[in-house]
Amino acid sequence: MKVVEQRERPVETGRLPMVKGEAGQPGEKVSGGFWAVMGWVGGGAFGWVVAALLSLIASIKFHSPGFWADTPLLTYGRVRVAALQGMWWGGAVPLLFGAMLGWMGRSAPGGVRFSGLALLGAIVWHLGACLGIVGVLLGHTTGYDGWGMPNAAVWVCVAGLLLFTVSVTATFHNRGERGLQLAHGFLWAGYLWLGWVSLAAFVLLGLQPVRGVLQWLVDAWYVANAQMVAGTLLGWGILYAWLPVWTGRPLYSRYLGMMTFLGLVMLAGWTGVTPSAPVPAWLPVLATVTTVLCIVPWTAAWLNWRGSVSRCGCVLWRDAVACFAVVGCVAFFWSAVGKLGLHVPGISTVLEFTWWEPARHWAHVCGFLGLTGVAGTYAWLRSFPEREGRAVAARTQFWCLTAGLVLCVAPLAVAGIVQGLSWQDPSVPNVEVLRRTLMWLRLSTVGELLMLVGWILFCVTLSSLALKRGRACWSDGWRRITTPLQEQETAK
Amino acid sequence: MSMQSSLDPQSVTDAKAGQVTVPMWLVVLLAVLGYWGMVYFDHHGGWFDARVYAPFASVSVVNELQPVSGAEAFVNRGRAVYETTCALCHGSDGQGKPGQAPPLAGSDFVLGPSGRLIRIPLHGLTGPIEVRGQVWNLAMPAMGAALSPEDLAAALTYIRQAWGNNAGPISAAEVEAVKAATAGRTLPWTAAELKSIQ
Amino acid sequence: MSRGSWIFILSLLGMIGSWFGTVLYPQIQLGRMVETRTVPDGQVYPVARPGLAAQGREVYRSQGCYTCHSQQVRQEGVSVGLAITKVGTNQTALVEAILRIAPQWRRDQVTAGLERLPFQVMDGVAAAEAERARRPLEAAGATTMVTVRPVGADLARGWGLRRSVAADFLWDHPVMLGSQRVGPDLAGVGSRLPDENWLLVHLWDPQIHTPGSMMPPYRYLFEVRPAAEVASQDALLLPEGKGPGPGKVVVPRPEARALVAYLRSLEAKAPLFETPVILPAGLSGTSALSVHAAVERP
Repeated sequence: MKVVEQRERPVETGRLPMVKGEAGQPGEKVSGGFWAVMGWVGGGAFGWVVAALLSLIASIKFHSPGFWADTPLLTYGRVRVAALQGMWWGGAVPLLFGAMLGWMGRSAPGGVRFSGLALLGAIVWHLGACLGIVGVLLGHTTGYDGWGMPNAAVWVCVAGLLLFTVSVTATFHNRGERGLQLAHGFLWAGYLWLGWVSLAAFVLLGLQPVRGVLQWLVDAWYVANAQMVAGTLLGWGILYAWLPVWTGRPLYSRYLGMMTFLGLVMLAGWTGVTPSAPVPAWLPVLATVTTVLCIVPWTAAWLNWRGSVSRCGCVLWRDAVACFAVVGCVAFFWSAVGKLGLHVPGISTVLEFTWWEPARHWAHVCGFLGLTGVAGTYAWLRSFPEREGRAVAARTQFWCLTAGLVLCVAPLAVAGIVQGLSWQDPSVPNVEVLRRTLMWLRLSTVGELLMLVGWILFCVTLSSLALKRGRACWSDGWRRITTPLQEQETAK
Repeated sequence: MSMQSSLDPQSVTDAKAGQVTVPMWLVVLLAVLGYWGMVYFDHHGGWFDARVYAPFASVSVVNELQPVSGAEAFVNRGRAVYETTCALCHGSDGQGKPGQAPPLAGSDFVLGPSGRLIRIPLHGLTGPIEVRGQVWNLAMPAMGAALSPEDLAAALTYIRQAWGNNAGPISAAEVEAVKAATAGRTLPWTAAELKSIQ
Repeated sequence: MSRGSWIFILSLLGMIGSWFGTVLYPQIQLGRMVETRTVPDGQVYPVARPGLAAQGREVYRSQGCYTCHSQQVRQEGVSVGLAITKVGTNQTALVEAILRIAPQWRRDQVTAGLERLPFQVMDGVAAAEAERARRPLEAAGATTMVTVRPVGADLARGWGLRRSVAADFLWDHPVMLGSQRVGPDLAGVGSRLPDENWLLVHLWDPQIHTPGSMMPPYRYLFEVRPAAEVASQDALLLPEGKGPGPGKVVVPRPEARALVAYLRSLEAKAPLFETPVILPAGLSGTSALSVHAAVERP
């Protein structure tokens, strides 16, 4: 179906120095997948709102443990698990998938292929994520830290993922330029990797559970692969896809990119086993060694980023979209340092089992994956005319999310250090250890609140865009149906 | 921005990445960290042994910290096996029970050649048998057939050294040798048969 | 072969590598694990949790208790020492011998120590030194044993007797090790807090026993009923002034009882080959944990 509306080439508004590149496509070329991509990113935005809300509720419980404690649905243990699972399944993953589909659709002449399937996939996926969150709140969580979704929800998500696969594969196959870019490799590897580890974890934990401590090992393996490998690859894939657009020049180095890629796929999947897990010594020792070796791919990613943005820092920072990517990138390197802290001998004894790990997790999932997802979404949206006047909203969101992230991650990290040092001293009673961290935990509530506001604004922006476009489509269709046939003939 | 004007939109989006090579120091860093990793694993990893947990470095360290010497541990294990498998009939004190089983304390069949003793639990015993001057005529099932050679050897060592018995230990290897030598046998032994074994 | 195919093959290797290393090989190593025996007692370990405790594990999972409580205790090392378990006839010679090998003691301390056996003469020494010190003491008629005591910050807190190992979780499904300690570790809570009523009161209102705790109250696992309807042994024993009001009592629902049964079944303290513990009966690790594994050398 041809989109009839004619539009001007969009004019840059506000004080955003935008590079012309991203606006150069004619509308027909990219609009083919609007609803499909919107299904994924919009749903992801809504998922983030739900997860951030749950996370905020969990955080408030550190102000008063009796807060909503008489409702089984909202007890800390359930809200917290629901927030973590919602962040991953409802927020980060669909947002990244949407950004991936959007970018691939943009570089394919016909836009997104089988966009109906992709939209259906988004609906099914989010249905699964909702089922999962509700299931966790009702007490049907699995009991594992990483793989927390009830089986029924996973089946639904798998169906959504399969539909997405059809569409994204066809879109990729249809790409205009045959050569492969670095971003293609990162995005595809991340996508397939996520599918593979989720499937393996589903079989080994949900369907045919392994025995004893193996369950924890499978879970740790899944978390390391899903977050440290697949998540990182998807996040960097989105960044590498759009960086040339934002900076106006090619990526710095393909070789550094390959080094990041190979380093991550060879090493990061081994890093899941925590140092004092009740498993034979060789497993945590291997995890420590591989985590330390991950310094190399992380450094390569850092060099590549620095080379790519050098002398463009201001441009990126003042661009309402690219600044999300800058903060996401900073969050990534912060989370890398956090990961090292959990494994490096000596430091890990203090930081293990403390709030340090949630701080790292927040930096990685909310910061890196979440913000790169937002950046990818907005970069994709720039080729649509509805975006005028959105720059201010994007700026507000950016500051809300960034401030929220900092106010979450930094206090939690400090709480982790305080807590870890206190646990080391057996003369400090348990309640006293908790009391020392409380101030920081309560400070992080402010961060949670700001992030929630940021995600709500993001969600509202996307919904208003969708509404605007929906209305346009509808009136257009209506006009075509109602216009007398003769006039249509004449118009032709 | 000066760079904006010079850009051709199409070439920007589809630009390939640059060709800057990986700096040598990063490769050296990889090598150094890899070397450190190998040394660290060698010192702390326990070489994939399932019985080595942190903070122990190797199985020999764990071995040195075990409560008692190997022989004593073996006897303790034997006691545990005896208590669960044999004590119901032969009694925890090894004195046997009238109408159920003859005593083991001071029995020639227990204290005699190891091959004789090992055969009894492996296949059972039937018919009349004289123990400490008293004749018993009962049937013993093959109680030890399902035990592992180590458990059986431990239990037999225990009864050879408990209650005042004082005979040499029996090793798992001996049990396995007897098992192999009597592989096809299904019938229980008789006292006469056993006496012919030295 | 092109560079692309090399990268593809390497990625596949990476994909399979971590799965092989952290899932498949551990499955071969630990996946078919069966019960082991304690050292040196030779008791079968672990025993599956009884039915009520197994139900309680489901409550623990569904309430998300594992988000705040870990079940894995760390150990930083072992401390080797020497303890006297029996005193011979010549106590004077023994005191002299002890003072020679362990000059840090005063004579009255030693005499008092020998009154309350077992007496830990030395601790935190090399194994060879402990062995050397045995000879003069045994020559003086005492029965001694070399002790091996696991040490570490977690253990000093009384969270366990030794580190957690794979065998502790053999029969659990799901295995909820937890990754964060907002509250204390629960790997050995059954030994630390064996009192059923204490645990139930703690679930009803954590502030009663530990003021300042951030643990949420789990009142929905209990019900408040008129005292007349309830048999007295079913009601919760609350401290004065903390009860639900005159004429009313708090009765734990089956879920609460099951959860407490599960918590009481958590005692990962059996001495195993991989975590050696040698302590004489009556001489505990670091807290009130009782140790049934005591082997005396003749």
